[in-house]
Amino acid sequence: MTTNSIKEKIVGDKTQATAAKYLTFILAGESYGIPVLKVREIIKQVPVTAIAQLPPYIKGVLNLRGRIIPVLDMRIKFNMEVSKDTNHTCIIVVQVLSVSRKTILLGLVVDAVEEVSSIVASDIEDTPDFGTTLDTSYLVGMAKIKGKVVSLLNIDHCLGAADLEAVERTAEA
Amino acid sequence: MKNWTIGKRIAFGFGVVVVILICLSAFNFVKLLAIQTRFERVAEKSVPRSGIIDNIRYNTVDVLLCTYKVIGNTDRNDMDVLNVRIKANLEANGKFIEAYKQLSLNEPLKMEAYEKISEIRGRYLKKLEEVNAEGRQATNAEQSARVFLKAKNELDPISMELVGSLEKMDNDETKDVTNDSAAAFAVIHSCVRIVLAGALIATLLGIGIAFMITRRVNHSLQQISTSISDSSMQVSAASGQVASSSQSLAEGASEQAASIEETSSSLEEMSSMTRKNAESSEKTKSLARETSNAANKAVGDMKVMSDAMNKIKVSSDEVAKIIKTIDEIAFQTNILALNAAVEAARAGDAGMGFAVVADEVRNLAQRSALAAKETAEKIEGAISHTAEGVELSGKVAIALNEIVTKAKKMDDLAAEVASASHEQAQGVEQVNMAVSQMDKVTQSTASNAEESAAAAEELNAQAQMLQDAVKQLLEMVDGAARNGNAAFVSSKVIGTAVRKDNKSVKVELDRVKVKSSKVKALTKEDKKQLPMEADFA
Repeated sequence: MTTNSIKEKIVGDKTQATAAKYLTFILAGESYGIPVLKVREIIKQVPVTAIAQLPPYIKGVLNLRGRIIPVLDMRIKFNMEVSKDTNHTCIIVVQVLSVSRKTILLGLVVDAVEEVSSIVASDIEDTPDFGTTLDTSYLVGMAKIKGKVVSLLNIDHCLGAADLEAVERTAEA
Repeated sequence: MKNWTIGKRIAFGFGVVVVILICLSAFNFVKLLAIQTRFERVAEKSVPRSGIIDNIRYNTVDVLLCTYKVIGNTDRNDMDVLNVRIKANLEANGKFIEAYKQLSLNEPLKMEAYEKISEIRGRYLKKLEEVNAEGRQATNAEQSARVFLKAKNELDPISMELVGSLEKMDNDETKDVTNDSAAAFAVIHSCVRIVLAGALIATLLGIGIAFMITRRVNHSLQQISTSISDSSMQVSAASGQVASSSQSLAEGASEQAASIEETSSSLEEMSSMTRKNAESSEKTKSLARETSNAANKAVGDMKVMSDAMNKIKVSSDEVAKIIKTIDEIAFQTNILALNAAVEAARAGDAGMGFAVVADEVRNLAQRSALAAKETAEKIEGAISHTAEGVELSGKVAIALNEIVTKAKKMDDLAAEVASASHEQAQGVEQVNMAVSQMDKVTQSTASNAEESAAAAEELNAQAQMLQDAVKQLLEMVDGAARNGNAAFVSSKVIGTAVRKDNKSVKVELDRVKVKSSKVKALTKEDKKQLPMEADFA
């Protein structure tokens, strides 16, 4: 397979997806994609230390090589059907730009990780406006990868401002 | 008097007549005896005495006469002759007087008369003697006249007295005779009257009683004969009924014999069925045993297979574990490759070669994962097949156990069927016995029907005889067989019907006999066919 990577730094909060390498993962049976540059690491499911009095979609914190990172359950966040953790369940460590332009590391619990694939612009479609559980600001587009429809997420906008603050505080705590 | 027997009545009638006869006879006897007494007295006393008295009187008179003659006579020879005569007369009178005495011994009045006459005679004789003596002595007329005067004055009175007494006595005797005769006649007259009356009464009574007896006897006889006639008619009718009922009995017996024959043949079938059942149950038993054995063997084999499968399962589980490890490794490798790709992408151009390597590693990882997955699938398949196999073998084991249980049940049931067949055979045997008994009873019924038919005929014959007797009786009663005929005729008619019935009874009886012999043959056959104890060993 030839890698046809067109590198472009994604700067700003533009909702338009661009041709790039995306990491695709499965969440409640549906495929989603996030730009690979946002991804720091992928790790297997590890026990998460729960923290009290946090929103339900924040599962807790995780010790990643000395760093404490909050772990989110994307399924709960996106009001999806929460299924049991399988041995394919992974945590994707992403870099998110907070409101204060600080880089926060987040762990996202997903059902499975698929692959890193290059998506050309011709494969990307605009988000159709129909009832999904996702707030469409998160959705930057729909891509066709190997016949499957992948929803491309802007992970920066996955979380709201308040959430980010809470997450920040948790990170710093 | 109503309830007297004929003997009593006749006895009474004859008795009455006999009593009257006896009374009359007794009466006659007594009266005749009276007449006889009277007659005796007359004949043997009065008349002789009368005769005696007459003789005495005559002699006395003669003596007197002679005495006077003597007196008047002087001739000695004449006087001797006269004296002789006088003596003779006196002797005779003495005898007569004695005779009179003898005749009168029991009669006081006559004895009185006798005494008196004897006394008078005594005087008389004395005087006579005197006179006679003087007379004899008188030799002359004067003496004779003197003597005659003496005689007249002294002898005559006495003679007269004597004669007078004798006359009186004679009159007495005559009176006696008259009295006696009159009395006898009176008796005779009264006798005749009474005898006539008695005879009349007796005759009338006799006739009357005879008539009554005859009438009563005739009446009774008629009643009896009527009732006998009626009874004999009824007996005839009854005998006809008996004949017809015996005929229907014979028919019934014949039908019964037919049914018994049918039953016998059904029993024969039943016993052969029972035998077949017994044999089949025997076979079933042995089959069940074989099945049980085979099933038990199969269970053993199943156990072995189960163990082998379990071993396969265990191995498969182990392999699965290993595969799982490989899968994890693949997964981790995949993640590693993804991480590498991410770093490569982040590294930009510098990481392109790394991206290629990462890609290749990812491919490898995916291939491993795929291979592991396929292997896992295969193992999964094998395990599931094994599990299926175990399950199936479990099911088969259960099924085999069930087979064993069912085979045992079959065995038990076969044993039950065998014992039931045995009981059935016994039952059939008993039914056979009952059927042959029934057959006997049917035969005896048929022969009883024949007997009663014969009895009916006999009865009818007797009824006819009875009718004959009644006819005779009625003839005796009123000389004409009026009532007998009707009964006689009806008896004859019934008699014919009875004979006809009897013939058909005989026919039925023969039928029954034939059927009965068939039944006997069948019963013997059944005995051979029935399965016995030994068959169920």
